[in-house]
Amino acid sequence: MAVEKMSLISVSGPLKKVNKTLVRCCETKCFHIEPSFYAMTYGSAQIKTLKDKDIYGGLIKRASVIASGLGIEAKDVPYDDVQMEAIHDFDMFFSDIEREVLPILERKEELDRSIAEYRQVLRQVDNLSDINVDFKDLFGCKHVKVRFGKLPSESYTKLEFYSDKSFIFVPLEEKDGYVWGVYFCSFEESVQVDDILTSLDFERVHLPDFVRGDGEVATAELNRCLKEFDSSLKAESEQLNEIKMRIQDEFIKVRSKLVFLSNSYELRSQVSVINNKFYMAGFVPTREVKKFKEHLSSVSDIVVEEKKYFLDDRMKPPTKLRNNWLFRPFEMFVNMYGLPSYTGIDPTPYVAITYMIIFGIMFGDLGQGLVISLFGFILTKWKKAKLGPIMERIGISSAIFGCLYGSVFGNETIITPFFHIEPLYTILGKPESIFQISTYLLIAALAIGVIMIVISMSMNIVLSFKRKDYSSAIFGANGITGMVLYVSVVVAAALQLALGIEMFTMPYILCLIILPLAIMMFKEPLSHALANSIKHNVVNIRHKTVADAAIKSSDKLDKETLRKARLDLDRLSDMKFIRAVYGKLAHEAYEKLMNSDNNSFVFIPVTEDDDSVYGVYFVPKKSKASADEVFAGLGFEKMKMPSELTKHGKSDDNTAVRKKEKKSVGNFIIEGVIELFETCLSYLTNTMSFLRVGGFILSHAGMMLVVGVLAGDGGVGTIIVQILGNAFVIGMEGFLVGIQVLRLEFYEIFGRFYISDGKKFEPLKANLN
Amino acid sequence: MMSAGSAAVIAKARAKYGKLLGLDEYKTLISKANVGEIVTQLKSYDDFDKDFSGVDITVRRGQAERLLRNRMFRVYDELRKFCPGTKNRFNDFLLLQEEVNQIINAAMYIGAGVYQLFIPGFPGYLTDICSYDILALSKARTYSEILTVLEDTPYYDVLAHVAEGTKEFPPIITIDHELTKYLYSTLLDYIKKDMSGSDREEAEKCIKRRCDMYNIKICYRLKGLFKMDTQEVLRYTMPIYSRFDRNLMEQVLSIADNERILPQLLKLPYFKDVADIEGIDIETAVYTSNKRYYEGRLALSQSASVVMYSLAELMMIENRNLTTVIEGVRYSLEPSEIEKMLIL
Repeated sequence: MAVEKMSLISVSGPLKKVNKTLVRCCETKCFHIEPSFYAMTYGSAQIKTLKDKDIYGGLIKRASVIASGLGIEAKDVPYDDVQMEAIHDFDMFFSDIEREVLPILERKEELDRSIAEYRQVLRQVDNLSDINVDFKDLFGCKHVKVRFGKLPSESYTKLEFYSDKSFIFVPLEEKDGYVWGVYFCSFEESVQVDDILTSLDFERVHLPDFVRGDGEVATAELNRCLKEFDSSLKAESEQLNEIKMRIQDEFIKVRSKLVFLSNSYELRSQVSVINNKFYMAGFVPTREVKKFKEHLSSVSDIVVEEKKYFLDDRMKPPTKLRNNWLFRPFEMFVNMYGLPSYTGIDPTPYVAITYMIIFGIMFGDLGQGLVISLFGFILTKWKKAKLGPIMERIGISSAIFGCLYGSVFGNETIITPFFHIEPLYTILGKPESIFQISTYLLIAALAIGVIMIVISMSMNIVLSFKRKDYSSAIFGANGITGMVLYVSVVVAAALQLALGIEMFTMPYILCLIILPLAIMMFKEPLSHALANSIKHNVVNIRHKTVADAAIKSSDKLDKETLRKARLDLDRLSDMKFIRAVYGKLAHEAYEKLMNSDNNSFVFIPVTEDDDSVYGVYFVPKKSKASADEVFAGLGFEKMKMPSELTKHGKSDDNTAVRKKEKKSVGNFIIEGVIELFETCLSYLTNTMSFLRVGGFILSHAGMMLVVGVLAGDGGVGTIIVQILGNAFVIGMEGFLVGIQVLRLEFYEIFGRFYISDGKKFEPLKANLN
Repeated sequence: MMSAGSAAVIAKARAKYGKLLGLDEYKTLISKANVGEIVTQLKSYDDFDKDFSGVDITVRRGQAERLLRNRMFRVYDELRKFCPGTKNRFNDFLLLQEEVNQIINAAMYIGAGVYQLFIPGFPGYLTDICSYDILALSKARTYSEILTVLEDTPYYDVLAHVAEGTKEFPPIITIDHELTKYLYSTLLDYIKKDMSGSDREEAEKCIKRRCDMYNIKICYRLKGLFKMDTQEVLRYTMPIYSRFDRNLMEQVLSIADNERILPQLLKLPYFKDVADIEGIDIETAVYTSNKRYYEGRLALSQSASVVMYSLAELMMIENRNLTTVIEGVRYSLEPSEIEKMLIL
């Protein structure tokens, strides 16, 4: 159960190196950037983010024009052998191609335009084929203007309002909400009529001068021209195709690199800039830090610092699950439910084991299990589907349980099932088929449920203690009290039903049932009492000041320094208004500070890493300016005070809030009783929920029995029905069992102990799409 | 309890809302070179192709805007027909509004002596469903001819007294005021009679809010632009109020005698979240405030009528945005300038 260890990394350097640094960071594929880090440290007013225009935008546009012109599919390919880096290199590359391609594209575009125009004209001429007049004569009329075009159907109905105007509209065809037609008007009124028709959204189609003759002649001429255009277009397309074949591979690589550079340029918005220097911070898996640093070492003048992940409590480290090959595919389910926090527990192995076992129990068949595995293998290899590896594993589990049940594609005569093996066969009453032991199966399913619920409760207890959530660990429904109650009832009921031992005696009921119930009901006041007692201890240890908290959490102080620090602090405590400033100092500066005899401040180191010592300096307010100067001279970098040094104050606030939330006795009892009822009901329903495990064993056997009966004995029909029946059972029941097991995992198991409050580790990458 | 029909209308309206354009789509449209390209792009969006399928790159601005209006009415009409309880006359709000708008348009064109402009402008979809003969209205040339067309409709009573005692064409502002007053009071009346409970309350709020917004715009225009005196401005406001009541109105108008009126209006609670936007004008403030309010109503209301009404308001804003984009592109404005003018 592992969550990848993370290190906090900060990278800084001159602004001119930011692009190169970002590209290198992307290449490492292990840097999770925290864009808001420096805004939190310095305040958003002091930092700037880079929002300048993408310098690669123009080149990408040119590449797109070439790609679309040549019909090259834009895809992401490795480009390691592309040596181009500078914009000038890309510009030269594209210019060479453009010189060759653009003139052809222009000619092609011209031809396309002409073809579209001629086709449009042809359509018009077709519409006008009823007019047996030479178009030249029609347009040559001296006193009549002729206009072809289309009018929205809605406007066509409005034409009747213009009956007093001297024009005639002849409709030719109605299509797509438009009426195609031609209107005639006198030369003198043409301007006015054109205005009217334009206001009615008449779209005029200009018939070109080359249209001669009547409809028939014009159609023939247009068709001849179109044929000519088509052959010219074909020639141009062939030429383009030849160029495409020649440059395609290199072009795709260059374009991929360009897109990568452009997208890494966009990542600049996640970098903070202060005084012409860039800063970025984020997380890198600790085992990859060395590799990360080495990769970035190719960029000169930048500084890469590694810190422990907890040094800044404002930064929540991301979670990256790390499991072995067997469990890794099941991370998908954990991701689906929600990731654990960085300091939380990775439930993947638990999920993997329980999922495989329960699936195997519910869908046990040697033949079908192997088929599922095979499908999983094919899915993984061909489609890279995430579900593939899971299918491989659960298929094998199904096959193993199939051997136990003696089922091979539903046939139970090939392998001896477990219930036919002595002495089990005699103990179970010599059953012939699995249906005769259905009661035992259901009881076994319940037992599995009880075991899993108890394991989940135990995990909750351990994790709650780890989280210092004592209330949940001790008094919760999934804590010690809940477990005592649940186990007591289950054990007593099992012994009484199985062996007839009377367990529900008065002392048993009082101690193991009523008492846990009462504790659970009074969970809230008990939790408060417990919290107060713990707080009292903490207060005694930590006292009330940041100073004592710093001393307590420091791992740097030897006995002598500790004594001196306390004495100095006592001296400072006499003076009012002491300021505490948290931050870091380089090791050399810390040495210098230790040798200083300045008595106006106290510096308490809290922790350290390879480069710096982290700590707090305390100074009376009146001496603050001089102390700040001393520390600034030593290169002290101020940081926000970690929460463990300031927690004391926060808990007081919470107490104040809690005081306000006092409930009445009546409310408390009603809420308590309802909660208890709900808890007891959930114990019952959650346990019963596992009955489905037994139910599906029987349902699987039942379905295969039906397939067997339908298949009959011998013949081609038998084989076909067996194949189809098995396929149906694998497809439908396998799918259902998969979902049911997931449901058990999420609702009955995860709900008891798992908190999914983590954020995903997302390495910085430049999108290539 | 909500009926299955209402739930279906609400779901349908929310699905329509999901198809309204967002910033990314507007940005794409803004990047286009001309109106034709904008319309071609619009055709690729869900729900626009139905209305724009017939037009091509040669489409003109006016036509594109008319198609947008048609689309809004089509969506509304689809929902209205789908709406349960045909007795609820409030659901006819857009039809009523269109009827009123067309009378105002006709009066405006006829009054200005350019009656021929009315014919191309009126939407064809009204021809069959309008409560008066819109084709006859387009033939009217004088005020009395308008009244003749409207004789058997409630609009006659509203407009008849406007011209009493004068033979001249009444001022368009008075006609507009009377018809708008009639529209809102009729809608409130429908709400009162045909709706109940929280549905009624919500619908009333929507209409009263609209009256407030109308009054805000009137105050700004008449006081800020036409420098009318307070009493005269008040005469043209709606006598229906919600948060911008008569007292507040008088107060704002009296301050506006000495100071600019826009900052006073932007102090109203409606504009709490938008008043800080740099260089905002009253139209943008009203639309932005409306957009936020009706998005909330559309998401939270359980009344089919209110959800439908909210969708119509949001579509009106979308149409306004698209008109802004079309005009911006038409007049070659900088993309960033056009983007600033959008109601988002």
